[in-house]
Amino acid sequence: MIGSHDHISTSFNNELSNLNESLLEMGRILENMYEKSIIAFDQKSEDASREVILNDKKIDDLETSIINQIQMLIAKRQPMGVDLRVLVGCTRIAGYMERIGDLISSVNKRNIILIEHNIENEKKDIVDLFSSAMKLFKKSLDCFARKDFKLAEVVRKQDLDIDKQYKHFFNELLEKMSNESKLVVPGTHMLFIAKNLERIGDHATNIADSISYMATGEVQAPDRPKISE
Amino acid sequence: MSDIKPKISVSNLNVFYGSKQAIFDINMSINSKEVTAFIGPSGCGKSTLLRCFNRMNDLIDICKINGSIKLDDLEVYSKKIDIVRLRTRVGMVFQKPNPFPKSIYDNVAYGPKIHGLCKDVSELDGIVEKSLQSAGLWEEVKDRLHEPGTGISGGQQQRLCIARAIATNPEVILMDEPCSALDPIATAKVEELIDSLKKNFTIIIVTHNMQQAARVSQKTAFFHLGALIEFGNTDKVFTSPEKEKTSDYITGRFG
Repeated sequence: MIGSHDHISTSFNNELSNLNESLLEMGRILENMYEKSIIAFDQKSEDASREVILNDKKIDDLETSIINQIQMLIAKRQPMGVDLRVLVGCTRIAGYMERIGDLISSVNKRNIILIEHNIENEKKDIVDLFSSAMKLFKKSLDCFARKDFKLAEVVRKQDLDIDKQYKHFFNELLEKMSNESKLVVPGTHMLFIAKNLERIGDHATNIADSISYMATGEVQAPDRPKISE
Repeated sequence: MSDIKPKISVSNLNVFYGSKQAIFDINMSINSKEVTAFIGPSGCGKSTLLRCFNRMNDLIDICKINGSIKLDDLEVYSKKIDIVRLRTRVGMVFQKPNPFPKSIYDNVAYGPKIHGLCKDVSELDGIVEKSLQSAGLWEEVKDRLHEPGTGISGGQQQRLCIARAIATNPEVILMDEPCSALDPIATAKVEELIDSLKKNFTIIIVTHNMQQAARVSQKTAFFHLGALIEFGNTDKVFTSPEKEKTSDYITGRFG
């Protein structure tokens, strides 16, 4: 954990390390869900998508358990300084991860609808977005596992690339949809999928910013550069 | 509006008990009408420093000090100073409630009487009532003012001691672990009282309870081995302190 060395109280150390482990576990499940989503999309697999959607329940349960752990830690330890920041940071990170779980789940619900549509021409762009968001999310998990807040800056820069990719895809698909009415239904689902992936990138950045906050105490991350619509 | 000039200024202060140095070269300014908390492990010098402010250390023969402590413009350790007068300006509340073995009324009336702060009985009655009211104790004791001060609960006794301290209308109140012998409810009442007293008094409190320091004070000073390690806004000291030593102490990592 962040903080120079161990507490005098070993049970406090253990509680913090259990909390850390729960968040890492949440990250591992999300990573798994995410990888399976790419396969489900690429191979038009309804089974794979359904499995991912079911897994989201595990994420929700873990979030509840993490909030309970944090509540107990605050009540028992009345943390100060870096411990207080770690608990506030972990509360936020658990929330962002829970949102990522929802977004992945929603991508898969749309994937099931898309299976009966022909989307070969747009597939590659979406797969690219998938993998960009995946890289970013993995990096934010690394950032958490290593408590390396310098990585936060890298995550932040990469998020900008995803935003660009998303805007580009959005504009192109919109143009195609206005020319080709049979694209409207699958196109709309694809726009939502792309938006959800872009949001996953945002939450990965939020996670990295929270780690930065835990380490430095700076609540407000510098303004993120934005791509105009 | 708070005064810009500090109420107490400490410069290059060193304190020795015989050959053992207890305080090393401390410089700090205490703001007027604010609560300043002193924290740090046992033996860090926080109580020693507190006791310098009204020269309670004079009672210890082997205690020697050099450096300067100013109360406004008054040099506290000047040879010319009237120590009794100093202690009416800088009152003190101790760890264990220590009411005099007298009535509740006499406990509060004692200071104003011996310092001749009142002309007649009705004025004295007024001071006693006002002090007990400021200490949040009036309603609880107004019908038993002539019962012994030692006969009320520990929490009430401590508030009686605070009423006794404010009866001489001091400028500064020093509190040395004022709640460590009290239960949580009595503690909450004393903390509430500290909060209301800061409108009129400059308060310095020594406490081992970090959450208490965070709750009641605006400034916090952290001491270690006789040195002032960090001194700043309480909000900052307890959320992101500058020094690693402070961080280790407030998070319980001192080993």
